[in-house]
Amino acid sequence: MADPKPDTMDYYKHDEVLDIDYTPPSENWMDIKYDPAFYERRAGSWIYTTKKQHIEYLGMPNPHDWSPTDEDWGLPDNWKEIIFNGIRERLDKYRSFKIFMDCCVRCGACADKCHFYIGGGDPKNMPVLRAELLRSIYRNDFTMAGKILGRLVGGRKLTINVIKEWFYYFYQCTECRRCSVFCPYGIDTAEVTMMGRELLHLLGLGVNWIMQPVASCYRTGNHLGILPHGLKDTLEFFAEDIEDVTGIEVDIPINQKGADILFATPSGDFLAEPGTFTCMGYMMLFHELKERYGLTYTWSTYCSEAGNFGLFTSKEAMKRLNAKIYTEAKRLGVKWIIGGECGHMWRVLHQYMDTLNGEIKEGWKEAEEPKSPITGTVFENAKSTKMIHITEFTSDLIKHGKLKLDPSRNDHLNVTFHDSCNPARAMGIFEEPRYVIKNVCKNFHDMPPNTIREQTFCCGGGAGLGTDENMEMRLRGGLPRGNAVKYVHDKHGVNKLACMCAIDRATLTTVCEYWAPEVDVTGIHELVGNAMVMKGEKEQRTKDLRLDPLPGFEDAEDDDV
Amino acid sequence: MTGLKDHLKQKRGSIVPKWLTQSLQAYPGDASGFYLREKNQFANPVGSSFAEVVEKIFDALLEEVEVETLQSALEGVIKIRSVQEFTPSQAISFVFELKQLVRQELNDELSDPALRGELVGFENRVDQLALVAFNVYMSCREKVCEIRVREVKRRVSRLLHRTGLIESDADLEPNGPPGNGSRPYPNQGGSR
Repeated sequence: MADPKPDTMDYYKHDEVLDIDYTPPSENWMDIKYDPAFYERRAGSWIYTTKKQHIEYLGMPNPHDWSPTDEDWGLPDNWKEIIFNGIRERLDKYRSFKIFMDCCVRCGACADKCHFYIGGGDPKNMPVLRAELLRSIYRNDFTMAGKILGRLVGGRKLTINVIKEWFYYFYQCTECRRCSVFCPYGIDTAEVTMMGRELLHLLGLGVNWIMQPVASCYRTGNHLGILPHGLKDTLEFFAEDIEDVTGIEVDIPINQKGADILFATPSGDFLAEPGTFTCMGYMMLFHELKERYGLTYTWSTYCSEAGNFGLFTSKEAMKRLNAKIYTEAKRLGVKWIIGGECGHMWRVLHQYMDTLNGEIKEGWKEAEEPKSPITGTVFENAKSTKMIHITEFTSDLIKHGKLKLDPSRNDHLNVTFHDSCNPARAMGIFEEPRYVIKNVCKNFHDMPPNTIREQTFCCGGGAGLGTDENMEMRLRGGLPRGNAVKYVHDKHGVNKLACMCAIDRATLTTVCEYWAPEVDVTGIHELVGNAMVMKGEKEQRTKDLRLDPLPGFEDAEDDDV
Repeated sequence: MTGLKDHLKQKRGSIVPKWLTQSLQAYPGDASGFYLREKNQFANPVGSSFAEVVEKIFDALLEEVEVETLQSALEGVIKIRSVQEFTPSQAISFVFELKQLVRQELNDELSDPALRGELVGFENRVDQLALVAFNVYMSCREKVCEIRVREVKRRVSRLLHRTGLIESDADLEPNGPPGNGSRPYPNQGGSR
């Protein structure tokens, strides 16, 4: 019999085909060594390390150049002692940390709630297990049971491999706290991550995407390192575009002593689209309020950043960067402060600022409990901090009919809203942004209930992870959010994702490009700026703030020509 | 006489769930359990996408549609795998697993030579599907690179405007705005 030809049945021996194992070889995740090869294989899942100069500038420990792909991470000789002392100090200082180390019963309620775990499937991204990376060291060396029984009670020895593992996973947590919503003990995993990162910083291990902004902010007042004349120049540039759109030359009050309000916002909105259009929206709003009601505000070049990458670094760095807000409010003699659309900054402002830097308020003579002079509304929630969120302010104005709005200018938009993690979970601010959006846009559809409000999914780029070299990890983490956006696009025709966080505006644009490419991202005050009919503006706008033709109003543009 | 298609239809209830299980077992222990267990599509986009796609592809193979038309279905899961911790071969291996499953499920029936002949045709189509899967994988990876470049440009868009390096935002989008791009897969690209 002739040899059978390929692609005829006789060519294949049935049993042999059955025996083929198509599963490509893979290693057991439990045996992973965090060696240079590990990191090399995972380019796209970790962030470039801090440059020595930034650590030096900030006076933080052990400045040195290194890379996770090096065998030697340049740790000090007594690195183990430093870590143990660091843990001990934090256990003494923070009762919450001690409780979080002790009280987890590993019930697993948090396990499948992390966006990185949902999108990537790495078991060490289950919040319980990520915390366990640190907890196991605590158990081994700080509890009696662990000292005696070690591994039997979940303890493990501190080795360099553990440090290398920490670096990988504590920079795979966006401190979004979705897991904490589901924890029956209320363990705040974000704070565990914060402790993990603080400990790594004791050894000089950090990431450049966080530490460069921290150093820049300490030096110039903002994360991007924009100098005072640069800020003025930027705002003037926005004003030109606003004039182009509306015909109105808006004021740019900078460092104005005696203004009613200090306005502080993340500096990302000065440079990065689409945040820049949101910044234009703020400028238009405040200009309008001055024209109609005489309310005055000021930008500050010293406090040209309300975001705080110190939150992702250490308590000391957070305090240091935050201090300029009250310092500047006092120096300028404003009555109270409004903060712009930012995410993590609101965790600092709402939950930490008053205890970190509250004493700076002493001697701030003009300080008042925030009360809108236009509507008479008193923002009792900010009685102590003296700082309110811009959507609280704007929604109050709209509620009292103080803004003239033409939502039909946004008729071409079908909007959904992403609750940014920190304003949602740290502040509980759910209704105000929705109220504002629904008043400036006619078409609004929320995403499914288990993806919004307190259960909102992170953009995957918070807590200093939003850099491009970390793209794959961010896209994994962004899958649950992108999936929900895609759903409302398919079901309701949503084409715009509104959010109130500078990091969201940057990273969700990318997340949508990949997971829901038909949907574009906007800030809330960009929508407000487009819908607001300003006193004395040109008869008919023909462009939106992006200088794109305003759909439905193109005829007017032809008339202009 | 019963043909392969009828046999596969009869065994659909057993083959499809097994294919899904095997596909999701590529993830480490706890994760594969979670992906299989959680049925809510928003709590578990990975598992639900796989569940939807393997069913769709299996039915389409039975209907003998052109394999190329299954690109968008494949994209539903390969888009996910291409940004996860998989090598390219791991990412698309689930396609090949179908061949083995069908052989296992039809072990007894395959003593019929006619059926075995039909099986060769079916397996050829699965192989073609794997080639399409590789195209989809590559196009997803290219997309990741493209959006990374665009993101970096957006981050400094104001600077690029001011220095005259770009004249409008459209210059940031070499292939037109994201979303309208629907860039062709390499095998459709003509010039590629």
